[in-house]
Amino acid sequence: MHYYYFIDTFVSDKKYVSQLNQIENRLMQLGVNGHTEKLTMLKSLQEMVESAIKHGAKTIVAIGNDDTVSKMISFLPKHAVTFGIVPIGEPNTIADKLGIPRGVAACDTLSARITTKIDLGKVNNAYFISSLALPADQAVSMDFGTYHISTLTSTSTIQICNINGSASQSDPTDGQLEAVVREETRGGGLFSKKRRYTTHSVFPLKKVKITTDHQSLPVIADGQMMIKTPVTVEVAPQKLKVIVGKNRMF
Amino acid sequence: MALFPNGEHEQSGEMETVIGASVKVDGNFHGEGNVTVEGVVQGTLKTNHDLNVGRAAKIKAEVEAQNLYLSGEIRGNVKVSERAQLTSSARIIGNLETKSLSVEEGALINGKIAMSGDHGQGEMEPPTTKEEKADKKKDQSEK
Repeated sequence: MHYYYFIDTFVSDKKYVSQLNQIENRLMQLGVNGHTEKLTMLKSLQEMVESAIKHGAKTIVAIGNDDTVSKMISFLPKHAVTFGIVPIGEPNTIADKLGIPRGVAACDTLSARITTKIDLGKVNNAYFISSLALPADQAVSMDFGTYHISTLTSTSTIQICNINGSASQSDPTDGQLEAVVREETRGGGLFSKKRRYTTHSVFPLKKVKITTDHQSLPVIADGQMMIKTPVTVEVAPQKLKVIVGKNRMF
Repeated sequence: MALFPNGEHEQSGEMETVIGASVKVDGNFHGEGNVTVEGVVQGTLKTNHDLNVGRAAKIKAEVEAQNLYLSGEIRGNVKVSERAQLTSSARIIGNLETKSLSVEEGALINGKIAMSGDHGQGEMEPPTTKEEKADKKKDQSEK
């Protein structure tokens, strides 16, 4: 299967050493061991992965958290490979949604190799797996083609979800994304800074153009990549083949 | 999210659209699943499934749905292929076409209501006058 494992930098921390050893042993026992590469600040992840694919990698596995996965997703869909995750550290919500257990138990999921093709989101030609977020700042317009939506207040946050726990309906195999608009209110008294979200809207979508009336707003994809409005967001159906667990949430 | 409060609506398996109170929709909106409206809609609003219009919702549009549960206001013509249920706070300023209709006291409809349905159609006898009834009795006694 030509497995290539990419271990994120934070996993070098002492507290993960024993867990990582257990994982390496279990992978060996199950016969799904392969090449292992540790990410460093000096090497580009994209170059490392693309070099592995040139050398015959068919399965690329990220050992790390949501950030590790997100960094790979921005370029991985260009290549015909299967993607797997061994979740270590927090947050690991993407692995949870895909039904992959934490730590050493993930090796058995890799070995069982249940694969499915999932949708990805695409924002101005860059891919994202989880969600896209716009902060509450000013009125935002979303053009869906035959109709458009405008927020009536400047305290609405917008999230475009693919795999995301906060949009309970989100299913990465349904061929669409969901725009979730939440109204932000301050809660708990006059001087409280605690945020509360009271009302919300949900719009399933295949493509949307997001614009703002005044200055550009930052759009954050998967909590990593930042782009400024205006942006075009669309679904890339069945774009990535991933290894999933039995307890996947879709 | 339950569309009809008594849980009568069927799960369509499609994604539900929720138009919340903080957004305004302009244009031709065609939902592929159930639609809930709590905000403002202008233009046309269509769904092949259920449409739930909340108390604070303001719709100025031509509306089409399979089932309608209305507590808010619709200004425009409404076409419901199955069942329309209007609560006491419902307002329709326009014509309503539906197969089945339930209206709570206090609801307002300013427009024509056209009802089409399978039940009972073509089976009803035309009303008879007193004279016609007397004639019928006479005929029976003569026989």
